[in-house]
Amino acid sequence: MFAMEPLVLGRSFPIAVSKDSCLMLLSAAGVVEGWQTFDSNSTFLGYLPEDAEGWPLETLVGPPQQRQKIIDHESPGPFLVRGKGGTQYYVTAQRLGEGVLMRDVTRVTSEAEADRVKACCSVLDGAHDAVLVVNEAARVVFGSLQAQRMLGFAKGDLLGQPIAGLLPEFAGDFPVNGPVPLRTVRQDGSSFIAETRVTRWEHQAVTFWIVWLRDRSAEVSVRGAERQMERGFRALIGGVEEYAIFTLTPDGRVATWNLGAQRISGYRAAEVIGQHVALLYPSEARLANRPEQALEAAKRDGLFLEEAERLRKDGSRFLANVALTAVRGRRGELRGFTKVTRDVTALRQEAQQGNERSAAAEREQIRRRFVQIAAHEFRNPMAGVKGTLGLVRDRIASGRPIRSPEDLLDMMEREVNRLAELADGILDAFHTEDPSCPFDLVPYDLREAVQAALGPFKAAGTRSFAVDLGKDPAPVNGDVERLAQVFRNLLSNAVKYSSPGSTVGVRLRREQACLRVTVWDHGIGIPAQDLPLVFKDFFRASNLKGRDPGGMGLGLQLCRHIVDRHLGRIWLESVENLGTRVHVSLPRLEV
Amino acid sequence: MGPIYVLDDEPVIRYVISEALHDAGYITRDTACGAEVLRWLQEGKVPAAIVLDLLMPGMSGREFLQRLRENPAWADTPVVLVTGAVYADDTFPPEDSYQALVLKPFDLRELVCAVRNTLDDACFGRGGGRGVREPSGNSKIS
Repeated sequence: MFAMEPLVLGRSFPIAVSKDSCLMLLSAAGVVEGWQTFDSNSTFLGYLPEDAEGWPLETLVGPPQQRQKIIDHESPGPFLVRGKGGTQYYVTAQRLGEGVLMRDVTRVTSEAEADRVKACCSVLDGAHDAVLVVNEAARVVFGSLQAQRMLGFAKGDLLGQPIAGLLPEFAGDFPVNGPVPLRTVRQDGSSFIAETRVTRWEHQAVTFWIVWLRDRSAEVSVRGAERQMERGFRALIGGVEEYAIFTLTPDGRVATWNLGAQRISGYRAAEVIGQHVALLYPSEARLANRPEQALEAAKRDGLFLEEAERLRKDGSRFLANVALTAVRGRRGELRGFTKVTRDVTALRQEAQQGNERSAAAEREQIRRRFVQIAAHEFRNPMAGVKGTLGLVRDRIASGRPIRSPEDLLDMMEREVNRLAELADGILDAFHTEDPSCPFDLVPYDLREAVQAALGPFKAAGTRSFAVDLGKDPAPVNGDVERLAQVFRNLLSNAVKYSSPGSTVGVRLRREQACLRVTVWDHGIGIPAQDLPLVFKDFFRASNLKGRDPGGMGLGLQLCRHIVDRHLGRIWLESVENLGTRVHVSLPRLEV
Repeated sequence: MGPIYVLDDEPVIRYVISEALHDAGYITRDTACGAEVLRWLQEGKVPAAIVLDLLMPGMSGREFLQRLRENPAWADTPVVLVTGAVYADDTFPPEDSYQALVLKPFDLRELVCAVRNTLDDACFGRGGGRGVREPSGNSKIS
């Protein structure tokens, strides 16, 4: 207090006032004649001396009854008044000669009130919303932790802040009913939209206002986007014609229906919405509780897929490819189902026809290939026979001698035998493939079949043979001639695809309940990409490139048929340029 | 006139072709192996013509023809192709790489005729002047 006694009144009185005070002189007409603040740049109630002096007090300070209390200074206050811009202040007033010494106690009051409400309000720190407690002077006396965070104030800095600074759009009229979106200013000047509610609170006979702020900016934009997406999505789905896309309620009734659903089923939306989805099932599926089972499965697993018949409105059926998905809310509660259905009737028919067509094409290709190979294979020995005949005829015609006619006859016989063998091979192959062709299965030693097959190859002497058949008997239940044929074919391949002088091997081993014969060579091998084809008719490896090993390409196919008929297994390992191993595994006969 | 090389993996066919050409007055040399013919060529023994089987184990007729046409020293050697079948695929050699084609089973006179025409073309039609060499060998069926 810098007030001095006795007071000298008049415009020239120099009296020092503190920063929070103001000495006011009023004329009898109520016009402010003096408004002395701490210095000429200091304001009181928002007014500089030059702003206030010469103006009726009633234009500067309100409301009237509070203003009058200051003028009458019946009590020291504090009084709640409105100053410049409607900002509220707590002031005390004291008569000082002709003047009134006023003091702004807003902050002091706020702090005192803050202390008073602190204990009660600390519970608000836990609130999800930002909470401000505002006194009658519209100053913040409490700011929750969330409010500090949301508004960017350090602890304690919120105290005494005029609410008008934080919520500029706030008219200052309490209470605010219901949430109102208001622009809220952070300490750094940035702003956001907060959903604002204001409630009245009486505490120890003092009125406070509690301001609840909820930052909805993020949520609002997400929801907006969701809503927009949903609208776009609905439009998109509604227009899809290829697929029936519809939703079901949790109990399986149709909730939405798109164009595709109408096109595929024949039902219009109005006819089907509210009906149970079982309407779309054929009667036997309905009787078997298929609709309920599908819903249950989707509920249990999230997704249910099936391809089954469905019913159109006209009673006709179609093959439907169905995906049924359970839709759940945030807390996992079942909200309903989405169902995507596709009419695949035509697609499946086409696929079936396509398969039939490609199988037919394959058969035709095999037939053509067979004719080509057969023609070629028959032509070589025929050329030999025809050539020899021509030679003999020409020699006779020209009177030239025929040297070693026996050799020529032998040659022709060999060629004719080759032709017969070829014919036999073809017939064999076709016979063996015929399941009705009888096999003469007798118990015997597999080593005999291998030895029988080896004989002619050993005699030819073009390869050396490494034969390891073991000492133990190798009993099988088999057709001796057919099994010998298998090993003949395998040995023939081994010789055909290896170089003269190289080694070809045969090995027999007992393996648990089986006997395995392996025929190996160090020949040209088979390219990896051809391995899956080796057991097909007329197979020729792609690395032959026009080198003709002869034969019909039926050998391995025939072997597989024979081995299959013996309940055995045949497989092949090969590395190009290193060689090939063919394994034949047959059930061992338990003696 | 150099010898005529007969290249075929079938001994009988090799024999009857060689004999027929021999009867027609040509000198022949035969083998089942394309690599052997290439070796002869490298030794400078260039033939008057080659009768060539297309499908053979080891080096195929197509491969042999390709090697033959690569070397300028013997690229002009006329070739009579003998084959069991004509496939429209890449196992068959290009048309300009051989001078005549004879299908098996062939008439021997037809084959001899094809060889003779080819040699005539080589001598007269295509400028002739092919180096005439003494036969370096004459093999018959063993």
